[in-house]
Amino acid sequence: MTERFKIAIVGSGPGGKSAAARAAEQGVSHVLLEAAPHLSNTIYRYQKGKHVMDEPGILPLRSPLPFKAGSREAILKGWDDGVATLKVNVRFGHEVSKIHKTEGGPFAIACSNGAKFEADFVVLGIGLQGNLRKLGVPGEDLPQVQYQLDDPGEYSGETIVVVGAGDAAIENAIALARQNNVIIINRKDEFSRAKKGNEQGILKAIEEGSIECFYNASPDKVDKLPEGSRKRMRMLLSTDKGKAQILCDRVIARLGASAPRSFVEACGIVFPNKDPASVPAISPQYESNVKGMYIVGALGGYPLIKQAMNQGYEVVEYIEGRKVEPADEPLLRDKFKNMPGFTTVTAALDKVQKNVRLLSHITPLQLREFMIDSEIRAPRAGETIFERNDYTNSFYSIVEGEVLIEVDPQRKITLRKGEFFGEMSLISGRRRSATVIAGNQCVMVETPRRSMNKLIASVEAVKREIDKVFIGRAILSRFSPESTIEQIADVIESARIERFKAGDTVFNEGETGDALHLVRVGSLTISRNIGGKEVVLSYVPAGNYVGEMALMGESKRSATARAAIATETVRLDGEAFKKLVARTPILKLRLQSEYRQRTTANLQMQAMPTGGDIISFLIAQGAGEATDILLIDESLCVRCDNCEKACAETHGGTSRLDREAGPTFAQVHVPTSCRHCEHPHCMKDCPPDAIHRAPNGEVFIADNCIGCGNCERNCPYGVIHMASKPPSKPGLLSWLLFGAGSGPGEAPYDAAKKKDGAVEKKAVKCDMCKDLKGGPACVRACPTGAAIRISPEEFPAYAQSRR
Amino acid sequence: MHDSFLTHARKRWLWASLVLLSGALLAYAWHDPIGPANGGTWLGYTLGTIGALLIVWLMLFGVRKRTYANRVGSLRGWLSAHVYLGTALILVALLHSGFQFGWNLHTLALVLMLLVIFSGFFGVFAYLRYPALMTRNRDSASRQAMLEEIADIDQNALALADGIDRRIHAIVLRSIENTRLGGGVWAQLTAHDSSDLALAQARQMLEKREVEGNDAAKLSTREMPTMFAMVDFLAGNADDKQSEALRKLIDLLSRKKSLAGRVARDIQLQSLMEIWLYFHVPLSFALLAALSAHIIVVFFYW
Amino acid sequence: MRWLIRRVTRKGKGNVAYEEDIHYGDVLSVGRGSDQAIFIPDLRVALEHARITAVGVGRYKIESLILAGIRVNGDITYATTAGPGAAVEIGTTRIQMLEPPADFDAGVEVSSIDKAEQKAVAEAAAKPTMLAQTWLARRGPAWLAFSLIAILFFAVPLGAHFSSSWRGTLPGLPIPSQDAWQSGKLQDAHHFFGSDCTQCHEKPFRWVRDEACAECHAATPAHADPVKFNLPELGNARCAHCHRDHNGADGLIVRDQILCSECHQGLKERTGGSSLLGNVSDFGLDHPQFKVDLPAWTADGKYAPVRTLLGTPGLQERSGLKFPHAAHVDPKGVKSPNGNKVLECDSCHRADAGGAGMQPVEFDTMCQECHALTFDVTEPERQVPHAKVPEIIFTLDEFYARRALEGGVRDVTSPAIVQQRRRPGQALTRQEQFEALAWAREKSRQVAETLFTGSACTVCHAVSPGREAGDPWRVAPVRVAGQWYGKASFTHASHTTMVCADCHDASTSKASADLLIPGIANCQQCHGGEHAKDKVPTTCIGCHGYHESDQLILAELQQRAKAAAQPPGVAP
Repeated sequence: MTERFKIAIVGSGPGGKSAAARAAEQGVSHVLLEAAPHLSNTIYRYQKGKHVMDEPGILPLRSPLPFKAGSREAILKGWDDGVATLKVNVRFGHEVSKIHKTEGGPFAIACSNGAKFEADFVVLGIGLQGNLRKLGVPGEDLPQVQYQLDDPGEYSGETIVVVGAGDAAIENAIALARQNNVIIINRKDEFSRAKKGNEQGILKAIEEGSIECFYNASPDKVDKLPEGSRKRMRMLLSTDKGKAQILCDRVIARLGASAPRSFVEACGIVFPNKDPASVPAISPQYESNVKGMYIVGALGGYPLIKQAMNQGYEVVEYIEGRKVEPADEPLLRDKFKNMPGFTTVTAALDKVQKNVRLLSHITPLQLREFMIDSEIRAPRAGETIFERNDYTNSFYSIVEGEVLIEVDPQRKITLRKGEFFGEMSLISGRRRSATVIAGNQCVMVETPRRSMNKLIASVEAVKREIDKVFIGRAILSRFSPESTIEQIADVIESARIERFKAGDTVFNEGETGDALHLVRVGSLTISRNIGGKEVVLSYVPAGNYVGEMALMGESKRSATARAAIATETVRLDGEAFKKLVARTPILKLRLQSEYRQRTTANLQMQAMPTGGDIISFLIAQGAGEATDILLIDESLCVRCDNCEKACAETHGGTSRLDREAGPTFAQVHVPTSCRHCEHPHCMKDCPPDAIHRAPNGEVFIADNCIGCGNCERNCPYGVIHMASKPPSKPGLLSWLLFGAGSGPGEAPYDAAKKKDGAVEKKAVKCDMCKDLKGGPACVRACPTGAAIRISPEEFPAYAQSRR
Repeated sequence: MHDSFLTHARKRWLWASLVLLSGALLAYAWHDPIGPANGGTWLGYTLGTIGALLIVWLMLFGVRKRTYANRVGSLRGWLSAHVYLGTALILVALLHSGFQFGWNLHTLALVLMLLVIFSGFFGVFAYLRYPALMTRNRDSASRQAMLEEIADIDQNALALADGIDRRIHAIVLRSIENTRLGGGVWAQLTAHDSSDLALAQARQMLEKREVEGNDAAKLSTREMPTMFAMVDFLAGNADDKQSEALRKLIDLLSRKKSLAGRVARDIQLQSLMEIWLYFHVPLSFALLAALSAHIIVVFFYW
Repeated sequence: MRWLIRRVTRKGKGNVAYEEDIHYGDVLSVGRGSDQAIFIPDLRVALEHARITAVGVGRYKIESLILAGIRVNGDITYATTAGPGAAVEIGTTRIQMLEPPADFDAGVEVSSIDKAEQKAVAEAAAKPTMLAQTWLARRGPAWLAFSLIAILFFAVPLGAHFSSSWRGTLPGLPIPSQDAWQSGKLQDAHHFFGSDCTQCHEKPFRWVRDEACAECHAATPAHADPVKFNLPELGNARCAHCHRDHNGADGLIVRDQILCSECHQGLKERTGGSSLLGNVSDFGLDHPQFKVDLPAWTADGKYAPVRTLLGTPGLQERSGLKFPHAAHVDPKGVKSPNGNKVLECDSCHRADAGGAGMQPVEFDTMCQECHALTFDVTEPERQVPHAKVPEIIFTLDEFYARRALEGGVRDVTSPAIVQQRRRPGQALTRQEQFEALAWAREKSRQVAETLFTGSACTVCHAVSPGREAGDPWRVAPVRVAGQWYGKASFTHASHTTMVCADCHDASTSKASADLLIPGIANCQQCHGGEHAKDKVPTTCIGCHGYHESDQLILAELQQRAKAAAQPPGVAP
């Protein structure tokens, strides 16, 4: 039989739960469907005692359920109690498998466990985590069959079957194997899905015999054994060699989660583009393109708990036909108030959208979100907005008035209402290429890198427009500042954006050169084949160009250009470019002079191939995408680890660098330490947007970090880790003289940890000691001068100094 | 780019100390005190004050090294100054003493100071010489990695040996038991491979047992050093399959031996770079005591 | 024999499950071989690894069958006997000996060592690979060294300063005494109290006080009387200014001229004329002309030399002797009864023992050979004694009386009785005797007259007739040798490398009034000041002494100082 409700809420995450609670409060008929046997599975799966933040702090909470920063347990309890007291109609273990709108009728909702519902409105609060895949065999819900592992330490002496071949499964298995007898079950015949380290780890463990592995095996059923027998349960599985049975105490299945997108699309909701980061377009009332189907929370592009809860509240209000001022209204009002002629938020928003073509493509809701992140700035005429070579990368759209772009002292370009700037640094991740000064009555929207990238990712049109402008400006500023966009229209037309993976060749030595590449993102190495060996001659960071040699003098490529890292170049067609050169004689001269410099530099490098080796070694260590990398000369390093101690001491007791680790070549050692990448991988997915780049280029983590660990996972160089604030140490002298407490670099005895695991952990990484005068402590603390920090531009010079 | 502490800031501190020295020497040559030259003359007091302040300052290096937030100069600069001014101290102190020596507290202070400084010289030598050796020896593998490889080799060796002969297995087992890297101060400094030591012990025990006439396992002493035992076995009764495996085993074990050697060497270099500090620091504190006593005493009995 | 083999299979924390087997036989074999009683499937175990034999109840003999030996209770062994509780560790397995359970003869418990424990064991067995892990340390030794030095070389001697008993005992002990504080070797004379610093250093952080010196050096003359010269600063002069001990070989006395010269400036003014000393700062460059003690006599003939500045014009030596040096030191020689004779300076002037002065000139050994004191031609050998007037007179009287009484004097002016020869045994009448002696008296008076005023004495001496009878002649006093530099200590002994003529120009001196004592210029030819490069560096105390006062000794000086320090009325 099918039950009928007014509102069906799918997913009991913050958003869904809050909606249900509101409905319950209002006495609206509703049902809350949750696949897991408990509320808000995502947060439930946080590791024990994890401290949960309530970003953005400024946003007021509006929900019948309580929420404020605190430990996972406290928050979950608060919600459970709230749901209980409000008598929310919640159904656990109901995984919604299908939703479709019956003609003119209500939505029909089918659950994987067979239950069916009908509802006039559906609120999707299923988040992005998706649902954990279960074993999908009988006995999958036995109490000892679990789908996550909070604390491997809590089991010992048990026989545990781990199902899965992903990183989670491997990490669990290895951790459990320390004091348990572990068997891992892999559906395939290898662990190819896992990270290298994990793969080696598990293979080693299997070889040692500390973990037993069944390859090409899949569980058939799990069943409980009678009390008193030696093991609690038995798992039957079919392998390529036939059936097998394992007696075990516990089964831990880490089969990943089913990504929700397919499901959402199945419900008829459309996504703007293929980009996995993109989210469905929704109205200001959170209504999707499917009438009556609402989306709240992360799925709607709102990753933060508080936002989601507010949406849950609001969406119910909307459904009830009540008009609610969005929670962010006061915030927006506050933002707009210093905008001249401000009346109402909506008016202001309209104005922005009207004036700035770029923003005309986005939904009002996205715009609100966009504005919350952004700042309205109305600088006085003549005020500097940013300086050349600043390391800021926010994006500016001019709502009113004009600004002056000062490419060089004698040349200023004027941008007017509707135009935007700051896209260069945004895209290349490098220093500002020009100084910008405010003009008369200028009003503009300053948008941080992250929200801008989000916008670019989700709205194709925005991307296209920005790219177009970028190309135009890049060519202008790089080649012929004299001419105007119109004059170089043909070149722009011919220009294409090309993408290269690390190691791809842009062009090869000896090819006929038909194009010139302007590096837009990433960097290239110029190398030459000398005596059958490829010798790196130079390093071309973003903002520079290659391939002009072939266009100028000889027509053959004199060297090979390779992408040092994932790189985007603007490819300018040779013919069009030659025309441009012909038109502008100054450009010819300029190119020739740069050409000469480059040739001499290359010759110098050819004189000492070892230098080239060092560069290619560094590039191989991913230094190509660095802006500032720590190098240690091992012929000077006395292994005193004072750098690590210094780092720990100046950064609350945890060192952000590991001297020993990392490769060495020709006495040059690249320790594990942050390189402050042009496009920091850590910034990719930071819910509270806590990772920023300081004006001098340091990538640092602000205090509003919520300790989610995304950056730790995203960093390919493993230089970020989670740490809790250590207790203060006794004074240095009392240690020096009496050995009181723990010395420099030694982890202090943490009383808090002993008490409970609930110390708040946050991500820590190198901030290049931006708050300390005189530069990074690691370098300053090196007694022998072995440690230095340099930027890739200096590699050639460095290589020469290592002769 | 990299700049050693000796060449720091274009040898600024070298020049500083040279100026100090020449100044002191000139003053000493020109100065003509009432009575013999010693710490009692005005120049003596001046040099003495300079020397004492220098000593205290030089000892503060230990503190500066650990106050990482300190922005006064870079640590490299401090070390540079520490080395050069410390060297200059020798002459300053000698001139202060007016080359009067005796069996007394005052000369004791001088001697302690010289000991400290010369232990420091070894430190400089070590810092200049050993790091490069260490890197070469490690050959871009961390010590941990080498140890792990050794452990792996042990496992494989056991597996192999087991396939050959129980005696070989026993031998390999023993050689594994006996591989202990590191050890006491001396062991570390001399990079001495304690497995040989263990071998000797085993030999002793064996002989003892034979004297006791214990019939348990009459093993010939030929089997003592693992390698030779293998070769003998190879020469003697072994079919092709065995000897094949045995060859593999021997390769493994020799690989292991070289690895063990490198780890030992690594430990040695590391300890050589540290050992001098264990004299430098305590001696400098002895010096501090002697110095304070010296200063108090000369004014106590004015 | 019944063995109980109990296998432990751990489950979770705490709860433990057992499986028990029974094994028959005396020996329990342990190994990887399938035939073993305790079968351990672990590569690290040999096929036949060990053997456990029960010897008596609850006693087990554990033997290794492999070369490496086995680990019993943590240490490697080959064969041992142990009681219940002993644990054998083989690979990851632990075999523990048990008290034989009821109706068993022996028992062992076989359990697997869990990974955590194995790790711990391995770590325990692993040797240190860093110096920091060894017994070496820095803080401890630093403290030790610091306190050792502080105690032995500071605290202990300090104690000795305050406790006399320590001072007594310490030097005997093999630990540093106060000698450790001595900055240098003591002057020899001070050795007998050398190890007792408090003898001189009475109060901490105070200079050595002069009283301490005066304990012994009481009778040492002071320099000059501060009161007499009203030079209070003279009172401030500390012994230690010039006397610095602990300089060993360099001795006790500081010779620097600055010590004197800083005070010897403008003394006349500062002392209101009571001191006559001129300014002096350097012997070579700034030193007044010498003053010498010229011989002189008071009216009643008392010797009272006069300090006279050398080089004052018309300066004459009044030695009371007529002696032309030139004539005597004539290289051709002087006539003498025994032919020509060449005289050297030292024919007459011989340095006395100390070398400071000269021995007096001896008439009878040095002059008389030529200057004979004969008086009667008839008897040329007969001479009068030298320098004793009454004896001369007596000699003459006695001589002529005898001649008169003997008679036979060929002198026509004399009475007949004196001229006529006598027969032996012929006696003179009283009248005749009277007459003869009268002549004799007259004769001797005449001869004396001639001696004193004519032929002999006046050659060298100034002779004047006496004032009353009995004292007919008076010879002026003579002084030729003696100490000339009254305030300086010149000695010929240290100038033996010179010849007399270098300093004393005798060869041209015609009159004995010429003063042959050289002035400062003469000394300065060889001697310079303290810093003289090409001359003998000579500081003040090369010639002058400091403790020269003839009225005042140190003891008194300090008495005065004390008295001054004492408020009046308080008995010292």
